[in-house]
Amino acid sequence: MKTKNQIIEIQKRIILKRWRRKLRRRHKRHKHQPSDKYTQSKKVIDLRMPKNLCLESNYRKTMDSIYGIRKAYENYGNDKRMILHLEDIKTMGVTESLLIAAEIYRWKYSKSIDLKPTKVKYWSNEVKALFKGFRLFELLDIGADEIRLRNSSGRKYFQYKTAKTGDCKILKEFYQYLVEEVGNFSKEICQGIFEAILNVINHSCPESECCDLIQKRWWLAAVYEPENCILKMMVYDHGVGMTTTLPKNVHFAPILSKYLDNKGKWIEKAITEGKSRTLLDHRGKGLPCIHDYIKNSTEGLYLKIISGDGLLHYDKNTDTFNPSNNKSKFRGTLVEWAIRISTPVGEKC
Amino acid sequence: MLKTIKVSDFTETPGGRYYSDGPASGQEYRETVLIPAIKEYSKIRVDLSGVFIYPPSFLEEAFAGLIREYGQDMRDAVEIFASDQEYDTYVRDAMRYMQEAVAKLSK
Repeated sequence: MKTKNQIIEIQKRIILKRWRRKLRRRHKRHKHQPSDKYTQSKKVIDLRMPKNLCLESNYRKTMDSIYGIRKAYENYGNDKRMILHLEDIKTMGVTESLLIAAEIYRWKYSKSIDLKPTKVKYWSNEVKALFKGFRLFELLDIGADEIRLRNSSGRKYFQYKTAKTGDCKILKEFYQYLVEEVGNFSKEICQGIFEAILNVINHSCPESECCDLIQKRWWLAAVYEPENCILKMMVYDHGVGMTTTLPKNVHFAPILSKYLDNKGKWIEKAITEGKSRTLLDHRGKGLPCIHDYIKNSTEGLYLKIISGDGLLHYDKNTDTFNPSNNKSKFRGTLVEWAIRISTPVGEKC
Repeated sequence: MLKTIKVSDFTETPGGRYYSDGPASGQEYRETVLIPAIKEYSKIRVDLSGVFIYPPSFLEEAFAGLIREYGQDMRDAVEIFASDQEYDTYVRDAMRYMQEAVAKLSK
């Protein structure tokens, strides 16, 4: 005959056994959940891309899709994954790939959750070439051998550089690498590039408007077209844009007020007047420096600036500025220019 | 006593304007190299040769900053030159920045 205490003890054991079994089952259930979490639609942001990712011919859709990544970054916490449907893109420009790279970079280094591309083998050859050339696949954690190119256009891409400070060593290494690969060109342009980088650090993100540190980061990339010996270079940042910062200069605001209907004219004035938002007139030499180089050197071809609401194109041949408004706000500043290499490596043009 | 100093002994890649801009800034060069040298030798010659490039911000802050921070007398305490002709434009730029700073101070 069992005592009352023994019976209680046995009941306790049974309860404990059942509880443990239940725990094991629950654990097992978790273990056997589908590993592909992308199937859980609530936890995924699907971002479709336009067929033609090009600022010139398809500005609105291009910006919508690129800023789709930024919006997701800003609006969602760390509980949502993002799938980038890069397989949608059939044609893509060099500049646009830098914009995408910067957005992916922002996501990758600020979020603890993955941003994944899909169907890498279905990407167009152009997208593959850009991702392989600029080594953007590293940002997406794709192995280099996953990107198989059918044929190459012959373009040379130079892996982008990015930093948060103005370290001229990075620029020197980048310049020397370019000279080795494409041929000699004046290092005078580096003065302008470095000043443009300093502009990003000092002016692109005023303390009052700065949301996160990544806004002070700059990206630099280059691509070389050997068939016509043209080297294109780009500097990009995620700052508030020149059309936001320029009017804050009390000396500059009266000049800008004459061109309220054309924000591209504001950028032109910043170049020709050599001023920037800062009240100290010995600062803000970046864009005037690059413009002077393009205008006065035999190598220069064009200079293009997209910033905030404005767009400015300078053509060396005609020595004219073509300012206009952007169709929608460009969140950041992109400076792009091209030069012709007169003594290229390999065959002459 | 006249002392000759080379910017390339400080850095081969001069940087931006202020410490906050990154390494080897104009402010750093002025405060850690130029000012101590002027205090010790009363007059210095600065050789600009042998570096990658001079960002205008570096030159402006290092040399015009001397005038802004320590007064017009600094104009005579510093002589800028380049032993390599390639750097002559930078010499002209640096001297122009100093003159502009003097002109502003005298206003």
